Amino acid sequence: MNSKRRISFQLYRTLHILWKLRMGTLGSLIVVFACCVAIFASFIAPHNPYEGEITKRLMPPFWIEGGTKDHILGTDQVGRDLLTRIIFGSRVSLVVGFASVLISVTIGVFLGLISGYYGSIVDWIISSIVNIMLTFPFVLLALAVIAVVGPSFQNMLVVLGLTSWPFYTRVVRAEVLKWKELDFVEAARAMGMKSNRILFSQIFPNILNSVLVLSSLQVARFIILEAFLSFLGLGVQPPTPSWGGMLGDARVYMLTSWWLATFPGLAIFVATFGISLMGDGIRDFFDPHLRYQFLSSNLERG
Amino acid sequence: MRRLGQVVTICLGISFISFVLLHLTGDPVTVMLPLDAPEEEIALFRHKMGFDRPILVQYLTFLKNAARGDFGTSLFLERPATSLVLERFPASLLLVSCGFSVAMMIAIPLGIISALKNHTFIDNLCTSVAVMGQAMPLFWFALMMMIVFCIWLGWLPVSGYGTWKHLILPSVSMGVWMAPQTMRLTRSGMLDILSQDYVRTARAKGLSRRKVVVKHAFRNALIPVVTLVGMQFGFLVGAAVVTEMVFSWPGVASLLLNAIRTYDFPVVQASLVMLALFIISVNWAVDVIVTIIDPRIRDKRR
Amino acid sequence: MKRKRICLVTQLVIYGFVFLAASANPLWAKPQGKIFISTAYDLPTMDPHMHSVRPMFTVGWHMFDNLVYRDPVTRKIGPWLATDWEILDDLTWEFKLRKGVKFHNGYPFTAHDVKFNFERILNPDQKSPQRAKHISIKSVEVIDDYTVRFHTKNPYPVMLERLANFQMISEKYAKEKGDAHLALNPVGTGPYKFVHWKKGRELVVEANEDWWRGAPPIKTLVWRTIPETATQIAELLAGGVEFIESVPPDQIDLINKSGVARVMEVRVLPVAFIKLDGAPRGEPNPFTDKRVRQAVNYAANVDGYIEHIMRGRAIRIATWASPFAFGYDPTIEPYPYDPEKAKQLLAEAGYPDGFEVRHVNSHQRIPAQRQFIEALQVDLAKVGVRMKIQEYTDEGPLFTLIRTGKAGPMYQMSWGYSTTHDLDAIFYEHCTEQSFWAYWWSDETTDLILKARNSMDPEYRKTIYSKLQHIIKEEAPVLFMWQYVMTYGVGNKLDLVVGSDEIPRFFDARIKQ
Repeated sequence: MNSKRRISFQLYRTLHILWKLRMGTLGSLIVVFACCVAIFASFIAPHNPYEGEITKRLMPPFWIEGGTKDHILGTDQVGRDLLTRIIFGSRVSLVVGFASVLISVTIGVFLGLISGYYGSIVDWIISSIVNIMLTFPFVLLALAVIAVVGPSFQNMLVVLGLTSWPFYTRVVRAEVLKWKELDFVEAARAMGMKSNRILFSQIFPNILNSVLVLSSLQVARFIILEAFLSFLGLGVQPPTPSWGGMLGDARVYMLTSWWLATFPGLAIFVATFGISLMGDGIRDFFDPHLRYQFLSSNLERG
Repeated sequence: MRRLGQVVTICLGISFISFVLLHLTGDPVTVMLPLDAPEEEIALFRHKMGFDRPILVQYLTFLKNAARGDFGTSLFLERPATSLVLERFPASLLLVSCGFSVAMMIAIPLGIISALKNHTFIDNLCTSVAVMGQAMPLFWFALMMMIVFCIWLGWLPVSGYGTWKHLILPSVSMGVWMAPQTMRLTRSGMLDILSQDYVRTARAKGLSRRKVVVKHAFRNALIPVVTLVGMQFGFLVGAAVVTEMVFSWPGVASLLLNAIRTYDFPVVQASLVMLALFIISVNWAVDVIVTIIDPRIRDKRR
Repeated sequence: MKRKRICLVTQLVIYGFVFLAASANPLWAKPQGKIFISTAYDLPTMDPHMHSVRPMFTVGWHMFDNLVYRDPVTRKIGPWLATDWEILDDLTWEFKLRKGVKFHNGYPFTAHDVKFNFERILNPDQKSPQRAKHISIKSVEVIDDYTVRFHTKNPYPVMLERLANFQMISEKYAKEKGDAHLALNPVGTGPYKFVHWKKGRELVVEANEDWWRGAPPIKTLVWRTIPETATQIAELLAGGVEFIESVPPDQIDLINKSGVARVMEVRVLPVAFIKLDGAPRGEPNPFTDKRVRQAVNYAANVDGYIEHIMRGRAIRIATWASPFAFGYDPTIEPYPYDPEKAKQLLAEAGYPDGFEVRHVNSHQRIPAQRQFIEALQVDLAKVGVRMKIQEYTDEGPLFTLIRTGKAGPMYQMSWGYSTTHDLDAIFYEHCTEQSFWAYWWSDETTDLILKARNSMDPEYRKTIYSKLQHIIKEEAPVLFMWQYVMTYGVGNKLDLVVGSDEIPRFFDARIKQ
């Protein structure tokens, strides 16, 4: 055993993978950065996100005449520091993204597992519901619900989560059907394992990859949807800063105070860009074709 | 026959969702009567409209009428909701299909190119552009185009409906919104096919690369694209809400948005059910197209 | 001396020309041109009695006529379809009608039509949203074809104000065709004839060359529904429409500097305020204490909002009495901005650390509405009152809350007085027990309001309203804010006047050559 050589091999391999997945790595870095910003918002942000002075409204970024170094990206329509609002806005956008995904993953994966594994009438009922939900223009449903129950942060989370689980159910169901027929599951069954246990201990881990890939794309979509709902006035309530809300409020200012729309828009852009790249990276990492190309066989699951 | 059963289930589900949702959360009576109507008058009116009956009875009555295409009359305009919706349908149909075509025109060539040039600079560029496109909120892009092409350049009308010029900006913004996802699907579908045996065989047999791509690969790569595009149609209708609002496009989505805001139940229900029917028929058409492209599926179905 | 006379003569000549040019119908001009007007709301119906939304009133004014007319400059009420009127006693008014007026379909306009219009709107089965405004009218009596007599339930001092925004339809036409037809095919006596209406898209009307006042100068008007403000501004700048409503204050410079359009600033009747549930109609809350309500008034930097957020496009007022309404007392001073005093009052009331309170809001397309609410939130937080904002996209849900008494403890309101330039239109609605709008009242105010309501003596009413304004200022049932200055974006080629009743007079507008 040459441990030194082994370590350097490991290192080399890791670097190699990272290089092969360089876009995904970049994406992950962006996501980690965004999460850090969200967590440490109160330490990083130069001002209070809720307090503004109306005498300092609509100040441009510092490099433009009229701007000051005190407000690097300028101020918004109520005189609050734009950079601070963007930093704090990351919280809402990321929480909306991740929490809604969590809700829909929980429901969707559970129903998908049951539906795929047990088949027959259970499958029929769940599949019908999924078909209904997928056919329904669910954005419109979300809209209708929020318009009547009144917009709020919680409502948005619940509505986004409750309307997008069918995607998971469909994907998971297909995966379960595929795995169910495979040898190791048959073997477990032959050994007398209970269905529930087979489902959760044998099949579930194997479908995690697809769920992960789908989720990363969904997070990005929810961040965009938050902006969409804010545009229609159904987003997070003021004065809570959110990227979508800021962008939505700034739409009449696009010709007069361009920074109001540009910077939150950029934030949304960078975050979703990062998340999508990360998702692609995850997919490539788990993709058998690609994995075969650059992973040595000892990483294969036995 | 099975298909028909599915359609009926979906319609039932959608009508039930929209029915229950709106009836449980809002009280239309307060909106329909003058604000200062006395309590007795409200009670009388509620009785007359049947709002005081059990919800299930109301739903059954609603279903019975809906089956005949009668969703009741708009609460604000003495006209059948069905005709209000049908009147707006052509505009939405035009918008959605043009947006769809734009998306295809962008997505399919780019998807194929990036699959053929897999993991090269061009591929990375195309993928990045696609991710960027996904990260851009639709309304922001629409407003930017409006500023550039209508105000600065003055080439196109800002909003409205009528000539082909009015159609350009709305369909481009919807197309650009939809293109990235389609492009990625095309790319991965294409990659899948290219790595399959028969394509390799064809290449080995000495057929030119171009011929293989056009004749074999593309045709097969289209199948997952077409299927998923059918699923995406629901989203496209959601995107139509924003597009119709920004460009004052007189379509079903804007009618629905307005009806939701004013609690005009018959119109909400009529438009939701009819949109769903529309999406179902698109999905059905997609299935037919897939069968035509791919005889294998037809055989499997039998 | 001589020079002075020449000046006088020139002046007379100029005035003469101006007068000729300004009168609605220069003899030599035929209606010409076409303008596009944007409206943010979807028009609900073409039946002038079955809605109560302002954009539809604007449209209604161009296809129908009112009995009397408010001059947009002097704000005085003068003749229109009624040429003359007389108050016979406290409960009886007699109106003489204009002769020879015809509806667009040729039917004559007579006293029977007037009677029919009022009976239609007052009929409970008709469910007209405007019914409450005319509820004081007991009956309408036809004396002859061109004379009608109104009998009122009680003395009705605001009769003319109400008539200035009530549009006349034809009895014969309505009875022949029925309500469903009327909702889509309006026929009036007004300056424009209906051409077509595509709901949610556009309404086209064309000049009525036989209008009793002479044909209007512009031939075709097109109302286009454009819900999105950003799109409206883009349309105005691109020349697609000639008129947009309520330009956000921050966009005024942009439009004025564009070279294609300008912003018309019109001081209008409506006022803004924020209601506090002092009664309380909902659950118990801190605002039942007068000192807390006053504290809110001290804590809000209303002048600051006007200067910086509204950019001067609002007039500070002491109470909710609009300076354009009858009975306004200009001697009352508004609450000063004094956070220290607010803190002290809150401490006295038992809230030294403040409290949290829900505020309900709706997107009412009021200029900069969201922004001053957020600024107010910041100011109130400084004295410890933490506002939690709940915002709805439409007025509907907010009105439902108000009606059922659940809108409190705090909600945003702007009151248009239903174009009635009289304080009765706010005090009766917002400060008496019988009105569901009211979230604070007392026996004293109710008594005074009813007294003023039932008197035909202007001087007496004035003293009562002055007294009421003093009481209201002290009791502070709302956070007093401002009278609106509306900002209309108007294309440079359009000459237009908008009245304090927020109705643009397109029938008197002209296109510059």
